[in-house]
Amino acid sequence: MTLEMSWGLLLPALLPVAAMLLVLVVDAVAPRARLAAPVIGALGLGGGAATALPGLVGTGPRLTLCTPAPEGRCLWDGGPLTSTLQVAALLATLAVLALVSIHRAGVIDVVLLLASASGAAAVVASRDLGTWLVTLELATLPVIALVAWRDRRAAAHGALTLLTTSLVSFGLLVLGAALWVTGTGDPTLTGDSLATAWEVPEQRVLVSLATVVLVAGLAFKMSAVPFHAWTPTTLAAGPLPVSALLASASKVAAVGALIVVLTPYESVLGLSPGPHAVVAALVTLTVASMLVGTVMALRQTEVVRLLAWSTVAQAGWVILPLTALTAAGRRAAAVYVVVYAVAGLVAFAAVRAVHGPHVEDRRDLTAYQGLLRRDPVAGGALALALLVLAGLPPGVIGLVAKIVAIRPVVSAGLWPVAVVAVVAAVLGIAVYVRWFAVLIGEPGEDAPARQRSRRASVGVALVGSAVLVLASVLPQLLVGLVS
Amino acid sequence: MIHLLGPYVVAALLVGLGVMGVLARRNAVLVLVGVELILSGSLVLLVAAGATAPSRWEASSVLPLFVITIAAAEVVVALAVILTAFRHRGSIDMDEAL
Amino acid sequence: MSALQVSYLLVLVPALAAVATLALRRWQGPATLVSVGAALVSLLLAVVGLVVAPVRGTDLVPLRGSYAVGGLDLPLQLGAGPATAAVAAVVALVAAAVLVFTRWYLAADDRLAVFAATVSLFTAAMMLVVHSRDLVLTVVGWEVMGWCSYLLIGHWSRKESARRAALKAFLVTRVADIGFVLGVVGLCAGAGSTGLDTVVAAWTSDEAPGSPALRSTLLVLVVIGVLGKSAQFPFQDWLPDAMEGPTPASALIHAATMVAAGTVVLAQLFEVLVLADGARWVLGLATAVTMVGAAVLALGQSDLKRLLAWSTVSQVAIMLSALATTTRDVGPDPALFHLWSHAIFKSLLFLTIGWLSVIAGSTLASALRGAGHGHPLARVAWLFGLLALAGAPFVVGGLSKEHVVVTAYEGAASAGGPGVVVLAALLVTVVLTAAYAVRAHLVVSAPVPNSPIPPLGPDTPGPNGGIGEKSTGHAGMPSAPVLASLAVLTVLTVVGGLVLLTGLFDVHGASVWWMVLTTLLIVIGGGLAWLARGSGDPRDQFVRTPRHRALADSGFGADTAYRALVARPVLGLARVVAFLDREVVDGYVRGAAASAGVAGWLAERGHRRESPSAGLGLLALGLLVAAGTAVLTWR
Repeated sequence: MTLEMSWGLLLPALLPVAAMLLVLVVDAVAPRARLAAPVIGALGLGGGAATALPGLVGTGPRLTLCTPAPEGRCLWDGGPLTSTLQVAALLATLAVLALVSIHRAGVIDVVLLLASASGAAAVVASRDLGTWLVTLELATLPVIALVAWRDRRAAAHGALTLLTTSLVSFGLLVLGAALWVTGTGDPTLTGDSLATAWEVPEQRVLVSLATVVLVAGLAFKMSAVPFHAWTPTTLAAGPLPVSALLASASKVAAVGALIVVLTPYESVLGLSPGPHAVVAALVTLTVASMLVGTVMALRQTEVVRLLAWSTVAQAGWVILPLTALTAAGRRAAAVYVVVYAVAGLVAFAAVRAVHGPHVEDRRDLTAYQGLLRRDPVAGGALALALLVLAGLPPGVIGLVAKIVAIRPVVSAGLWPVAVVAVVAAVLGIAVYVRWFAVLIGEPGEDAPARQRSRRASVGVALVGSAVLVLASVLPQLLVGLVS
Repeated sequence: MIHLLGPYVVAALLVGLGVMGVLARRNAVLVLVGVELILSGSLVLLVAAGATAPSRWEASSVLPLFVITIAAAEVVVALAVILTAFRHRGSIDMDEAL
Repeated sequence: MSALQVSYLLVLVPALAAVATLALRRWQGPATLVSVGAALVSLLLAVVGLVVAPVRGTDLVPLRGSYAVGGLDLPLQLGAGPATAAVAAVVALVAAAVLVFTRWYLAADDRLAVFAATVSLFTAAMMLVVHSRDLVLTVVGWEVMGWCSYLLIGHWSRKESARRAALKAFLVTRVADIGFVLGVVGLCAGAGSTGLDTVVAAWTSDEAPGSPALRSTLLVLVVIGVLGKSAQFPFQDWLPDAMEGPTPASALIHAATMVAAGTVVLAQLFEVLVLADGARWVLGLATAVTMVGAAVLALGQSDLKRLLAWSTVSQVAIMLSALATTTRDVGPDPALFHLWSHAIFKSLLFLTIGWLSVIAGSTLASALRGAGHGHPLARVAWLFGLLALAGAPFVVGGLSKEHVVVTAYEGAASAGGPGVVVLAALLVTVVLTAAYAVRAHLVVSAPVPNSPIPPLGPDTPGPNGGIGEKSTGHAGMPSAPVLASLAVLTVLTVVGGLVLLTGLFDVHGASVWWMVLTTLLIVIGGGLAWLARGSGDPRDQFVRTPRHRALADSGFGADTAYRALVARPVLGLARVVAFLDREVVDGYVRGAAASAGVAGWLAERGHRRESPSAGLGLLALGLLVAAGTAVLTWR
């Protein structure tokens, strides 16, 4: 059996891997060239994003790795939604590389980042369980190593927490994959195989259970309640750039993986015993995450923990449109995660610009008093990111993303979930406006001095803010991308 | 061909043992062992699934290979992190305060 | 260059000049040069527009298609026509003269560039209203003019009285604008489009979108808005107070543009207005009351600038009355012609009094007594301006006023409408106008007083209060461009009647009998004023007692009436609403915050032991849920 391959579609995942190999080779050959690694890494990530761009505007089907007919299935789908997530993941990793900053990024940092980015770009396009498992773990494992890489005590504790949860998540994913193969008989995640399995009652139960277990495993990576306990610990204990990576690119990869798992369900949506178990599991996750995350975030005074709990709440929002199990829901989830990833990156970049590279202490809200006047660039970027996360104008794109996320739920008739989402949106405004109000206050006398060596962070914050502003002015650019 | 009840029971036992190990143990290495048990149970399930009817995908032969490879890589990372944590704290008791 | 291109340029050029001037405001010289240059370019464009103006009744091809939003069509077009071109030309002329004058008059002001930028923006808005063929654009221009007039009146914002006057003008016109916007919205909704032609066609056709009563009500609402902007009863009191602004601002706003914008809008909606009897009665009665009352008040003012303000109110009433009384075959052009001539002679009068006030140090009649001596050009300009104001025959003011009177007579003769009332009021006003015009002339050309009043320094108020104009320290002689623009305006005041020959305004010929009658009335009025003059204080000419003086100066107490009838009830209502919002609605918000706090405390207690195994405990919970759902859906 031969696979039909079109290399152009595979490039977004292959280019970072090629860059990684090149970095290792250059390090073996010329160890003194310290700048080579970050530069090659940046080129690899940028090149990968560039090769994913044609998928955004292409109209025809972009499938590759297809087995021959009859019963040919294509194992890689590079359509608009996939390409959007690929671009988002690759550019988010590029931003994190910039946050690590050129002078401090060593070979290992770059290699781990490239591996994680390649995995993220590949998992969103995979359509069979083998590719999916491999690339998802490729996206996750390097990040665990990155958390512990700087070898500090608090980071080691955070890495340990992340490790145990990742291990358990992997176990659950493999269990879910095994159940899926048992239920449907083939490892591809397509609607046809699901529809055939759905007709037999025992297979239907197996397949539902498989999806629930897969969703539970993925909920770890997405920080959804009740699998969220690692998030505050790890994000607060690890280095800031890695926390930014966990909040942005890892979330994009996890959401992409979840979308891949839920895509087959479109074909069984109207059937008579519908996928109620899966919907119930998703609803539980989303409602719990939105409420618990928001309520806990309201009580935080330390900035990174606040962002961590807000990550939990936003995970609830990302899963919300997926409860409808329709194509519109998947597109809405992709839009939301991209907006959230950009806003989160800007927030982390601004935090890093304010506190500098040695960031273990005094990351309190009080350090941001009057930041908008003391430091208009970082303060302005942070204010814009907070408004987008809250969904308030002028962060219009945040509001658009929330509306886009609620719409599939309303059209599917899940009214109680929509009501809870609105309540969570209102509470969420309080979370971010609390920080925003501190920003626009009067600067106190004991404000921390401006850090040096913050050019990269400020650059990332500015570029991210520009993207947010552009998306706010022309929201149809982003929404149209995934339609 | 053996009756499939046997492999299914073994798989269920392994997964059950693994989950209990994960939940009840406070030592990080023992949690790792618990996860490996879950993985073994799933692998048995995978292999048993392909035993009934031959499929063109041969998933039950290929996927276990993938899983074993990933598990190996995972163990490497896990042990590295556990060693780092041990170096800093002197124990790998996960409940111990930071 | 086609007429439509000229229209678009006439709107764009002042707008861009405003932006450029504001950007350059730190360097006052170049900034004012930019605005003056742009004004002269606009004037040139307006003259070109006069030449290429299309013949009446031709349809112009629009430059681009229309937009559609929901069920509403939005053409957003500008247009061109002969009367439009004439009004645009006079607006451009007055704007250019005002900017040239401002460069001399406010040369010592530190915010001169901001003033010039606001004047340019104001001109752009007025051009938009004049050329607009879409009611949305009209409303936009209308509101921008209101905002710019607030900025211009309150230019000397360090003075409390200027701030108050600006706020009063803004609030009074805003209250009237409620009617304007409601009327426009109703008209557009009924016609399904905002294009002027579509609206007029829809509301004048036999299958009108609503009953005639609805049409009348909507037009009454529009008329209320026009009454506010044009300072007619009952909204008249903001205009005399607006004299707190610098004289060039008064010349622009209160001569040519804002007070006349209502006339332009009603002329555009003319065909609908002619069918709406209720609106015509409201307009006719209001203007009749205003023109007589304002003329009476002008007789008794102790400040000559306020006299000119009341005279503007009276003249605008005359303009609007022509729209109330006219019939369909006569058309709106008599009103537009009076607008045209009023713009010329009123701006001439304002600019001249600005010049004289620099010499005398204040605009009070007692200070300006005999200020014309030694400045022959000022005296000549003043004389011709007042002749036009009084309506002397063949001077441009006389011709236009005579056309208005004839229109009122024809309106009265054909019955239906307020023609008789308006005609009577017009005749009385002619007498009174001549009287106060002669009074104003007598003040300025009186014999030199015994003790010359020294020119005042910049921030001191004038004697006995009054509006102390900032002395520019120029020793009273304006620069050459200012003198040139005053000369141009004077010449136009005399020969401006020749515009009738160009056919830009479609008016019927002059009637000899009416000219004789009006000249007689003018002679009567002037004679009364001449006879009543004394050699003492010119203020004592018509008001003998201090109580009369106070009554005249306060506009018959209109300001107190506004405060008691409008401001106090609205503030009371606002306090009630604020109380309800604070105590009732906010109670729910505070409750929600409290419950969120409680929920957070509970969740935090649940997360107290932040160790990895506790996290796995939650994992157990999750797995339990998963297994539970699997078991429950087994069958």
